[in-house]
Amino acid sequence: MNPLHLVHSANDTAMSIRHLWLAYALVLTLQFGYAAVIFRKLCAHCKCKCGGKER
Amino acid sequence: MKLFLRIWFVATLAVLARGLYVALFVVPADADQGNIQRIFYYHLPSAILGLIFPYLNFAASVAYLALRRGNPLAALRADAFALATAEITILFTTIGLATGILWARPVWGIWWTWDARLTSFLLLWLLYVSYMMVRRFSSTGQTHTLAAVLSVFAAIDVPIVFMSIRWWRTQHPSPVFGGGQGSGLDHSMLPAVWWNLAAWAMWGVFLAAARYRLERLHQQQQMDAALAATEATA
Repeated sequence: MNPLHLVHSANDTAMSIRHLWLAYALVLTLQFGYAAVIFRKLCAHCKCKCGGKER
Repeated sequence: MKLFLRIWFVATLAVLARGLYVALFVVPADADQGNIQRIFYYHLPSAILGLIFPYLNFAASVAYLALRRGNPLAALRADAFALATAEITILFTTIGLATGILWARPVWGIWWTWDARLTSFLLLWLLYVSYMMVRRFSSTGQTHTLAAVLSVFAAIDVPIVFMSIRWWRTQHPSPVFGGGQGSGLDHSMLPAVWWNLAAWAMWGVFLAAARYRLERLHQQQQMDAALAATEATA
């Protein structure tokens, strides 16, 4: 079954569909993963300034 | 500033979601390649931003080198910006390389080839990885200056990457935009390009602002610690 059923193309192969999803998943994981690391560190800094207490 | 960043973040997420939807479900599949061509809508913005952020890093590094003696506090701000843009350069170039490799295997039948575009782009990635390693592991006391000088040299690779598909015959496709007669995308595919280019540019700016803020806090912490140590010994 083609997971991209809305835009099926006759030229698709199983590998091309797999690589397409892999590419999109990789991009979103890397970008949001990096953002999560930055914001976790920013939050850690804020907690340091408050002496480790919840604000 | 915090409110502005929050609004920017929400707007960026909305544009990203729209870009994803348009790329996967609105624009038509490529007549020759089929759906695998949709990787292009994430590959192109990442590659373009992977060539823009090095110039921001270059400008910040030059500012650091110029200001480090006369105005050390302003130089520290420039250095924080240089670090932020270097990390984001690595992020976008990594994605540019990875999405290119994933596209190449089904379309070319190979994962990689040592043509001028791919090699010069890999070199750019390696230069910024070495930039980060210099910053992380150098213990000479001149780390920031060394990194800034390395950044100046790394920036030289950017125009070579950009021009490689114009100067040499490469396995990499010829320029899609600005490539002369016969280049370009079908008009029906352009919305996916513009939405995703706008979305990832907004995301890049957002990440750079957050990373800059984090580095400034880190610098402040180091200065506070140094001041406390000086007061303790006095």
